[in-house]
Amino acid sequence: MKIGNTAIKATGLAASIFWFILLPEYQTVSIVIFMLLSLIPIFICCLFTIVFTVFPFFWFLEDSLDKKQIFKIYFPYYAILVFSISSFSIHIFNYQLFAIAFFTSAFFTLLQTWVWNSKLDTHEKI
Amino acid sequence: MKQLVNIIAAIGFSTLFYKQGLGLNLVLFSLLTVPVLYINKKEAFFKTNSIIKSLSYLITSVAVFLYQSDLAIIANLLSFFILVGTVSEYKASIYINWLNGCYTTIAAFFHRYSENIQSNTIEDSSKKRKIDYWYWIKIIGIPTIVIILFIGLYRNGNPMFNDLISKIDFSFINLYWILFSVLGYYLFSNITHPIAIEPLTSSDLSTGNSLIKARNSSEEQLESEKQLGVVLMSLLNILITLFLITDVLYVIQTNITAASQFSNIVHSGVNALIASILLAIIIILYFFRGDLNFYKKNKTLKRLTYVWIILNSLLVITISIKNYQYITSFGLTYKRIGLNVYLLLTLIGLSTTLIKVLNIKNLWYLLRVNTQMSFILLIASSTFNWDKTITHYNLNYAERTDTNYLISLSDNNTMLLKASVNSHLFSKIQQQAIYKKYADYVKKLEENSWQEYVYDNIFLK
Repeated sequence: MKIGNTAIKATGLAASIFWFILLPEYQTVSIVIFMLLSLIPIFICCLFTIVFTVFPFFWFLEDSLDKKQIFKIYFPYYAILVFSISSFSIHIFNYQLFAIAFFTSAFFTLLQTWVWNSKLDTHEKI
Repeated sequence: MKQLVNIIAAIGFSTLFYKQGLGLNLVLFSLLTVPVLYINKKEAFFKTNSIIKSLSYLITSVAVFLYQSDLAIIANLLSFFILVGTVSEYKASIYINWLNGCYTTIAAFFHRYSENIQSNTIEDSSKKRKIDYWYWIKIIGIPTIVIILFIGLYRNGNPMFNDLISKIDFSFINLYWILFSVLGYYLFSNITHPIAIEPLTSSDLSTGNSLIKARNSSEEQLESEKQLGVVLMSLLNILITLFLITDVLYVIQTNITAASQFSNIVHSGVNALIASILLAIIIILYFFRGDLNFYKKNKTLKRLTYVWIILNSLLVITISIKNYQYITSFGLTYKRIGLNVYLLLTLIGLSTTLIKVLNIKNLWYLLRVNTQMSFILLIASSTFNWDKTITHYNLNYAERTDTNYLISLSDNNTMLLKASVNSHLFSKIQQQAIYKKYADYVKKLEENSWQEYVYDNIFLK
C-alpha cells in the first residue's frame, strides 16, 4: 500500500480545503508563506491520522476481505464517527474559524482517503 | 432536472441558514426538504411509513418555530435522519433508518464516488464513463488556487498591475455565503441519493420478530432450566411483593413535609425501580431466549413471569403516585417531568416484554418496538411548551412554588411570567428580574431576522 503517495495527496486536499476556508479572512500576500509552511504540519497530521485510523482497516482485514468489501462494511461507521468527532470539536472550540477549517478539512480528507484506498484495490486487481 | 432542484435547494439552504439562528427557517427548510426527497424518490413516499416520518419531521420543525426548545431541535434533527433513512429503505427498523439517514446525510457523496470509480475501472474504458468529480475538482480547484496565489505575488511586484487588480471590485461576492451554498449542495446531493448501510440493512430486513425453535435442544436441559426459572421467579415475586407492601405502608404512615425528604423517597424508589426493572428484563430474556418458549411444561414459569412483570408495573405505579404527590406539594420541574417520562417508558418496556413472552418474540422485536415507542414519545414531548406548562402549573396549582426556578427557565415562559408579575408569590427583586427577562426577550425578538422568526414574533407586532 502506497502510504507516502496517499499522504501527499491527502496533504494537498487538506491544505486546499483548509486555506479555501481561511483565505477570505486573511487576504494579504504574507499569507502565502504561511500557506507553504503549513504544508509541513498538515502532512504530518495527514500521515499520522491515515496511518493510525485508515490503513489499519486495510492491513488487518485484507486477508479475509477485498478492499471494496472493507470500504462497504466499515466506511459508513468510520464516516459517522469522524463526523461526530469533528462536529463536537468545532462546538468545543466555540465555532472559531480556525477550528471549522481544521476539522472540515480533516473530515473530507479522511473520507477521500478511504475512496483512494478502495480505488487502489481495483487497479491492483486489473 | 434533479441537479437544478439541488442547486435551487442549496441556494435556499444558504438563504435560510447563513449566519442565522433557528426559527422560521427550519420550518421552511423542512418544507423544502420533503418535496426535494419526493422528487428524487417518489416510490418511497407511497408507503405509509414514509408519510408518517415526513409528518413527524414537519411537526418537530413547527415545534422549533413555536418554542425553540432544545428538545424540539434534537427531535427535529433525529426525525430528519430517520426520514432520510426511511427513504433509503422504508422496511428497515427505526434505528437502522436513523443510521442510514446519518450515513446518507454525512457521506453518501463519497459512497457513490467510490462506487463510480469501481464501476468505471471494471467496465470497459471505451464504454460511457460517469462524471469524475475529483478530476473536475483538480481541473478547476488547483488552477484557481495557484492563480490567486500568483495574483497576490504580482500585485507586490508591479504597482500598475496592483492598481488594475484593485479596481476589480468583488466585494459583492461573499465567499463564505458561496461556501455555505456548496455545503447546502453537498447536503442535498447526499440526501437525494439515499444509501443503505450494508450488510446491516439486509441483515435487519431478513431478521423477523418471532423466535424459531432449534432442533437440537434436549428435554432434560430444558426441564432443569425451567426448574431454576420457577424457583428464581417465585423468590423474586415474594421479594417484590414484600417490598411493595412495606413501601405502600411507609408512604401512608409517614407524614412528609420537607421537600428533601420527599425527594429522597422518590429517588430511592427510582433507584430500586431501575435495578429491579433491569434485572427483571435480563432474567426474562435469559429464560425465554430459546427453546424454553416452546417447552410444553413451561406454563408455571410463564405465569410467574407475568406476575413478576405485573408486580414491577405496580412498582412503577407506586413511584408515579409518590412523584405526583411530590409535584402537587412542590410543583413541576424538568426532573419531575423527566421521571414521569422514564416511568412511562418503563411501563412500555414491561408491556413489550410481556408481549414477547406471550407471543414468543425475539430480542429484535423488543429493540424495534421499544425504539419506535421512544421515538413517538420524543416527538410528542417536543410539541409541548414545557417551560410555560411548568410555570402555569406552579403558579396556579402547586402548594409551594420555587419562583426563582421559574425565572431561571428559558424565554418560553416570559410572556406568562410578565402577565403574572403582580402575583403575591414574587418579591420586588423577582419582579425586577421578570421585567428584565421580558425586556431582554423583546429585544431579542425585535432583532430577529425573518429567518429567525418564532411564534412570539407574531404577537410582538
